[in-house]
Amino acid sequence: MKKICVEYIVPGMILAKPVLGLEGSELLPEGIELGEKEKKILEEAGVDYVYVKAKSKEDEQSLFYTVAQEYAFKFFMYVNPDSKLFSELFKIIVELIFDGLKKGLELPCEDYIRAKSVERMRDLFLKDMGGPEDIVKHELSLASFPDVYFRLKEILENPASSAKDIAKVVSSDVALTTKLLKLVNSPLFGLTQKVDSVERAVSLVGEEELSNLVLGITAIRYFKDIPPELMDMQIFWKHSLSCAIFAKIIASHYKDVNNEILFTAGLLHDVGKLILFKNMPYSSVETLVFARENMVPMIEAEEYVLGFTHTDISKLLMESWQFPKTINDIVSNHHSPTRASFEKGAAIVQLADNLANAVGICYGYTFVVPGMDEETFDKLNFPTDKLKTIILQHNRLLNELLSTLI
Amino acid sequence: MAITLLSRNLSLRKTPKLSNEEFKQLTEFIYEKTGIAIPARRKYLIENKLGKRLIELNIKTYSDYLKYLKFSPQKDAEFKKLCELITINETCFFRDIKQLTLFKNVILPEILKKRQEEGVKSLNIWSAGCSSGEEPYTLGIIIHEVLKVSIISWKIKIYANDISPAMLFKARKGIYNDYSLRLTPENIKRKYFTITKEGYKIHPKVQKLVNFQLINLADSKDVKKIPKSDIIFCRNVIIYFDDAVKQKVLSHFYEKLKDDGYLFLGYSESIHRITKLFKPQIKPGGIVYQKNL
Repeated sequence: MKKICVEYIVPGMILAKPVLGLEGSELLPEGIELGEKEKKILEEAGVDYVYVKAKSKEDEQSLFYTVAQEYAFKFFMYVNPDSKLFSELFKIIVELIFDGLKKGLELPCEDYIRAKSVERMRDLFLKDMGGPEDIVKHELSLASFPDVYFRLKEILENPASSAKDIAKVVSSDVALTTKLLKLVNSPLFGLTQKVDSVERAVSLVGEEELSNLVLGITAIRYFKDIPPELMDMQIFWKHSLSCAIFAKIIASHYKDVNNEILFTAGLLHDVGKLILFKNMPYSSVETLVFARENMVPMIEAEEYVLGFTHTDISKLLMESWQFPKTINDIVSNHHSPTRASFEKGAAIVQLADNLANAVGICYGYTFVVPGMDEETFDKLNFPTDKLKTIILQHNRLLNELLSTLI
Repeated sequence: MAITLLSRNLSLRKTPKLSNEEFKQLTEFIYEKTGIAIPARRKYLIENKLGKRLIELNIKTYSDYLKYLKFSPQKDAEFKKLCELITINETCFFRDIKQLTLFKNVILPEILKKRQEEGVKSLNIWSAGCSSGEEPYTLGIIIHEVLKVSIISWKIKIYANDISPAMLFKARKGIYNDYSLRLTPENIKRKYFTITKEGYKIHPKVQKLVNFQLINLADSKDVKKIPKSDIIFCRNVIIYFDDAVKQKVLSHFYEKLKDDGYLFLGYSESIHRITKLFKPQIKPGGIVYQKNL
């Protein structure tokens, strides 16, 4: 027996519990086979979900499979169906949902996927009376970025500095040190020895690489302190971390790409959204509604509704904080890699973002897979037959790192 | 084992293929007829949305579908179907309460007072792009709340229109579910809706204020059906149009709005870049527009 939303009923399912109508009358009896007609009755009566079963074990498999496929497909409507990348990705996701359904996964109903009400909230400015600059200015006036990153930056810029100096600064922050060590000791880094000191981490990972990781961890802490109420922060960071893991794994396929920069860029790729939601809650929900109404990615909805995007905001913010130029370049262009100076880096994060979006379908991330230019993907020359291995590797890491870092 | 059998036939391609040329022709046709501009990046989305319809009709290519839309005896009915597929509207009663409060407490009383002083107790409101009727009915409820019994001494008409017949059918029926009423206060629900088997039914006294029509906002002939209005609501509609059509639609509003009337747009829509026909007025609760005379 399985509880599913009415919209996911597939003809051939058997009603496992009766559905009651007004004043205790029976709308549909237990045991009835559900077809389009019954689905319509349930929809018109405003029933949200029903309990269903299959005629046989084999039937159950094919019914679940159909549900998984139809559910996943909604999120793939925006991408090129002939693309090798997306058709392969689609197959993998359908399989993952199918496995999930067998293990008791409940797919969220349409109503849940829709936006919340924000009638009581206020935006920083009225439409057209401000822009990304105003939002960033306002944000900067509220809080400054954690000091530890800037101290580290100073050391790195000083040629006379050593691993010891870096270790000293990082170690002064106990929480940061714990997270950093857990991160470099995780299978994501694949180090053969256990790293028990920051100094050792510096020598194994490298000075600049380590400082990028520190930047990532510090940024999470900063942004965690300013949660906008409209965003499910757990889901937000899960998606961000997921993108970071994918970006690092993908980057490791290329000799000329620094994995740690890609990890941090992946982690921060959507922070502009947090700032946007915090300062423009009302308009942000309008963009959510627009995206869902039209089944387009958030970036497109932002262009329509706000006239600017979350990457316009992160670009200015990262500039003000003097984040490494490469990270800013990647994050600002992860929806438009051809505009980036480091095109490959931006393309990797774009790919990682697509994978993270797709994997997110299985745990309630409800935005459509944003797609990727065929040409950009081809330039990466990425083997699609590795996708499944990468996704499984990612899935093993995600929850562990989520509890470590977030 | 079963899964490999099932996944063998799994494909992301579920529809006939839409060529770039066909996409161009199709979007040009849609644009001409509706003013809705579809950007190139939505090609696959359109392919998916319309592809299902092609399969239903047993039409092989999008070029043939376009011919069907232009020349078949069913072309009008099919065009309506097309509109349903490309425009979806998620709206509800009392959407954007701040703006509606501004309407209720400031704009509406001001206009009512003026008309009373002029000795013409009549009020025309135009709800342009009304979708399934939530907006015009909300306005009707607010007018009832403001005028109370004195409403009988007024001649009030709300002209509501949309390009989707399915939406208008739903609007005329006036029956809604919980989701549509998620922002509606309980006392309003009790006063203006009756619970039926099919859902919440809007009270006939509100329903009779509203006149629904199938109108294309970009079509000057269509717009002639609308009388001069005291207040125009057009929320989250022009966002779908490109600048040229926006200008055209706004010029229609200019033509149909009385000189002292007000125009309400969606919360995040802006027009100052596009036209100087209207001047914005910032009021508590949002922006309203008046004609630049």
